[in-house]
Amino acid sequence: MGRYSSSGPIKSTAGFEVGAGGSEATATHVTIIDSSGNITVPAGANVAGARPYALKADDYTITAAESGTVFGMATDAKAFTLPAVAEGLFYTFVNTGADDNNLIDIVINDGVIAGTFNEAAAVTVVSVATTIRNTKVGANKGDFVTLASDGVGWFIVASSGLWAQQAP
Amino acid sequence: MGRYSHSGPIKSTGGFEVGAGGSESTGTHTGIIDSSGNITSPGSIAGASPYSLKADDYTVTAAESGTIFGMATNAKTFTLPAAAAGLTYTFINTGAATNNNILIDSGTVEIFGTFVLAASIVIASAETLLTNTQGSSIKGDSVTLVSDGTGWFIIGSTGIWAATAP
Repeated sequence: MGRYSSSGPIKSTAGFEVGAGGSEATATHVTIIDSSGNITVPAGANVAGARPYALKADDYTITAAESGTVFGMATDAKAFTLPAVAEGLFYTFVNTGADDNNLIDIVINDGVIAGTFNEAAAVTVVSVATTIRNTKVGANKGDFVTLASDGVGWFIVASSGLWAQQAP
Repeated sequence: MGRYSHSGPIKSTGGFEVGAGGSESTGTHTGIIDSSGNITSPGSIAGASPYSLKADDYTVTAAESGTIFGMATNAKTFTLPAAAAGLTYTFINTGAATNNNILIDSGTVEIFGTFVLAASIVIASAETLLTNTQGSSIKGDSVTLVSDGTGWFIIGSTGIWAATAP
């Protein structure tokens, strides 16, 4: 059978499936997009594509819908504020400004940030921070941190550069 | 309503949506795949990343964004595509310890970031070549890069890497 085309969006209240051929009764169906919008590809398939990238120049409050985004900031003394914790949310923040130019804060509203920053010859253990800061002096273009949420708090899952924690 | 099946590809110039019932005018619609092919889920996205093992020099394409590349052969180079916002790749040395010299070449596009080593750091500041040094390499050494459309940024790494501007 050929391609089915539509000029408008195609909507399903039950989601979208792919599968091997055959009649409706005998075909094998694998759900790719469920009715809630969750996307899952089957074993042997994969997910590819660029990550969303957003360069900001001022304070910015992030939404849950932006999970997965890489945020850049090249402006001094600005803050990213995270959304409410929710399982699986993750974001990457990159200092894209010149060396020693940017102080960048990442602020949370609930929970705490926990994890470890590995530095040149030291380790900064973060346990109860509500803000983490890429300090202006000592910052390098390309310093970054990736945070992920378990629905209770936030965890540092990757980083480089000098970051400080600020407890409540 | 039951399942609608079609054995050919289904094409929509307007994208694909899911949502609660109701008529076209009253239903709740959430775009999952827009007309440009961007995928955005209000829930979760799960699935394996593409993995590609190479055994020779390889020029990476933009369409391979998200791929994890392995290399188990000595003295080979991955060449990055033109910078474009959001492109991301991970490169893993899958060869034996001290066996592989692996290079990642960005051409003239600058790479920024920091490799954190055991007791020191290597800062990439406007470099164009990353090298997983053979003599100190360990199976599993890796680096993940993302582009902002202008340059490349290191957003993850393990092992000992050098950053140079040849």
